[in-house]
Amino acid sequence: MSGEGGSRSGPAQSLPGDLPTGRHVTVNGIRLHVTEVGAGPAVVLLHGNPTSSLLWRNVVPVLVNAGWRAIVPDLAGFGHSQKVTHPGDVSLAHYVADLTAMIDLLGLEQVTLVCHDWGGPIGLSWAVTHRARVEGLVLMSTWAWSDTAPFHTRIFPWRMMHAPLVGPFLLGRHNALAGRGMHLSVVDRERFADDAMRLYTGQLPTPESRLMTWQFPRLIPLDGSGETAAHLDWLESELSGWEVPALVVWGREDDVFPAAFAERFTTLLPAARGPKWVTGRHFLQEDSGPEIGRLIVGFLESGAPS
Amino acid sequence: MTVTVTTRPGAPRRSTVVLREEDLGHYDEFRRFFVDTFDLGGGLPAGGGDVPCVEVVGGGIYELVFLGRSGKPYPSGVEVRALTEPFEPLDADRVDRDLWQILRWVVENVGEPWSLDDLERTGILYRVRWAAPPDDRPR
Repeated sequence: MSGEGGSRSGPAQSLPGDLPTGRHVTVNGIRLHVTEVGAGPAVVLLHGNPTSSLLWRNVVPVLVNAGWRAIVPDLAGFGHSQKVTHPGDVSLAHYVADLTAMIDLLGLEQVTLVCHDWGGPIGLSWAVTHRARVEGLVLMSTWAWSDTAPFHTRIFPWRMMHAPLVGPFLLGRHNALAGRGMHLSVVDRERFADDAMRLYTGQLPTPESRLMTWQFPRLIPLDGSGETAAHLDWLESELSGWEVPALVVWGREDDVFPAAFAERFTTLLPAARGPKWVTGRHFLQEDSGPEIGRLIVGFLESGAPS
Repeated sequence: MTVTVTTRPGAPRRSTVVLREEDLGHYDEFRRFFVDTFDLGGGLPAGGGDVPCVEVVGGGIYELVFLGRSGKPYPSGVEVRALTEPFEPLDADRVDRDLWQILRWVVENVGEPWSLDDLERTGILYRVRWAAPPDDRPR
């Protein structure tokens, strides 16, 4: 795997804190928080589990300074958005419907999507059903197929962590995914523990508010069957061969979604560039936020998006 | 065995939910463990039946309230509820210690491919203080 950009020995990033407070919009009966910063063509940045718009705090300033408008929602159950209180209330389709409604409500006609983790299947599902409105895609540490990464098939630690009763104990009572779990999935753990970790854990203050942190893992199909697997099979077939401008950015040290997943996106999407490798594990934005911002700006300014 | 099945004490107790699992059948072997242990194969009894309890080492007693949901095998979920003296505040640390005993009991009895060793390793990885080896466990 060749490296490109980024360095573990580079200067430490500052922690500017959370993005500016945004506003709430109600879609599908759910109150979503969305932050909008800057003016220019729209770039929608989608987080996954167990993060929030906070994930993009070191990326957004680079985009805004380069003349782009960043739209950063908190998915239902995360950040400042309404929490999800019953597992039967959500599926991948619910999140796609929320995104669809939010983009329409904000009046966004042309969009570049930046997707991480669950933000990938969610954002890409919107993209393939609104192809004419997609300017470009940026994908990082995510997937769009029903076969799972080896990490997600192992009992220790992944399946045990969210097993019946164990999930509500570890991830509910002890907020283990937003705390220790994220800590294990960044490169500079000391810096993360010193600042950002408390912000992430603080956004999920009660066991009930953390439901999606073990419900999302339970949505990942392990045997290729079920509603989510069928959705992902459909998504992969829709993406296959689509000549959409795309950029793939991946963490060199990512041990959740392997490098093969990054390469698979470049095969699936013939016009995709990359992978561009940066310092980072699964939550690569915590280690390489500004660099990722610069890679996205380079992609946007290269003329890929019209 | 660190956990024993028992009945609700006769004296008045306050019942407080301390852990709620809405999808016991996510890995169905967990649901089947409760079906076998509490003879739930017939579904929810008319009138609801008695609420079973478990007692952990140290004397803590917890109700297990089984939940049903149309479209899912019974029980679809379970609430673990601490029983305390009516006005006694909950000791969160003690509840965590007791819940860890209950999780050990469940995982050990669910059996392969689930193992106590993997539970303990996961607990240690995520810094659950009760997941330390027995000799190092806080008392």
